[in-house]
Amino acid sequence: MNTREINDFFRDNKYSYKTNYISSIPELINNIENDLVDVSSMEPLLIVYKFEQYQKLFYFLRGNDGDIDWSGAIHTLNKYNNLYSEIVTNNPDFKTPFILEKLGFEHYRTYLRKKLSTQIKEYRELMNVRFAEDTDCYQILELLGKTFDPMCDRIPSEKKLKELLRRREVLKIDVNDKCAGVLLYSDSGNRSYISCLCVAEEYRNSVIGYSLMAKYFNLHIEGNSKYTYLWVDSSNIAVKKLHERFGFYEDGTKNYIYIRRGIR
Amino acid sequence: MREEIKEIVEASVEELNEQLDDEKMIEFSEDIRLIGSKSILDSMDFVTLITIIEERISDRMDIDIHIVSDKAFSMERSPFYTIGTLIEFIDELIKG
Repeated sequence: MNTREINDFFRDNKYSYKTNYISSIPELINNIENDLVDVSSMEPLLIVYKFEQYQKLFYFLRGNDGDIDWSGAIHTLNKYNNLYSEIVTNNPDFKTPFILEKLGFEHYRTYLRKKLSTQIKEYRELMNVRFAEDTDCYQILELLGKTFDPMCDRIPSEKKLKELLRRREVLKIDVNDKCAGVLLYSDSGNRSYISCLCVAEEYRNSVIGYSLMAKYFNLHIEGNSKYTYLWVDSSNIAVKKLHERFGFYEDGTKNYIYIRRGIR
Repeated sequence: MREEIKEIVEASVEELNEQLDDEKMIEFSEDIRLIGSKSILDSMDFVTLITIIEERISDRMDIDIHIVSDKAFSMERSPFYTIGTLIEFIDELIKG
């Protein structure tokens, strides 16, 4: 399989394929050319991004999928363990795509996107929340690693976390010199994105999460951000409640995660 | 002193109840869980309760205290576990 064939695929099927790919095709071609991803099958076109503990599948399926021999695609996916795929959509009638069912994927989790217009209300900060520093990096990564699912919780890489630390976009609470909770965010133009709110297990259902959010909002009273958004696992009742108490509302966009484990 | 603090906390719970939906209202008891998975308060209600208690202590006893602190969370036995432990903690905090 070469890049010419792939270029031909996109040229011939311009706008007529079904896909879960949300970035640009030139970027995808560039990744293929630089050997950063696997092209596992051409019919349907399956692209696999390889990460440390899992692989992520993107698919491109021609409009007419009635004649596909699925056994070839299924066979080529068997070499991957912990393969996952995701679909971001605001379609309220969304159903699992036929291709994912055919390839043996199962629904795993659903994440909801929540939004909130910037508030001018000041919250009381009960705990001492500080900006995390470079020296906190490994302690934070350890907490995130213990708490989150590496497959779909978007744990930042060490490089990304260091970048956030440098930009002072990581808030932290310490209890007994240990990291009790962190909040990671990114400000970009008029948007602010809370990418992670994490509380150590022994301090859940207390005020650590509240205090981190309170500090975050107080920092954003003045600034360019017009709204904040975040993603939350639809089954995480406690965090959903906390978001609701701060006024976050679901904007209708959901991220459906599917997984395919082992050999079929 | 403890009885006076207990009265303040009880009055604070009543004030909080005025802000809560019927199903979330608290019947005052020293065994009521304040934090943890069995708490009937969420974190925002807890913050509101603490704020009310601090204000009432300031008004009635002319003492300004900060009940929640890193030190309080560092204690082996959480002072926020129940209303009873909270009363004990405030008592100790005021006595210094």
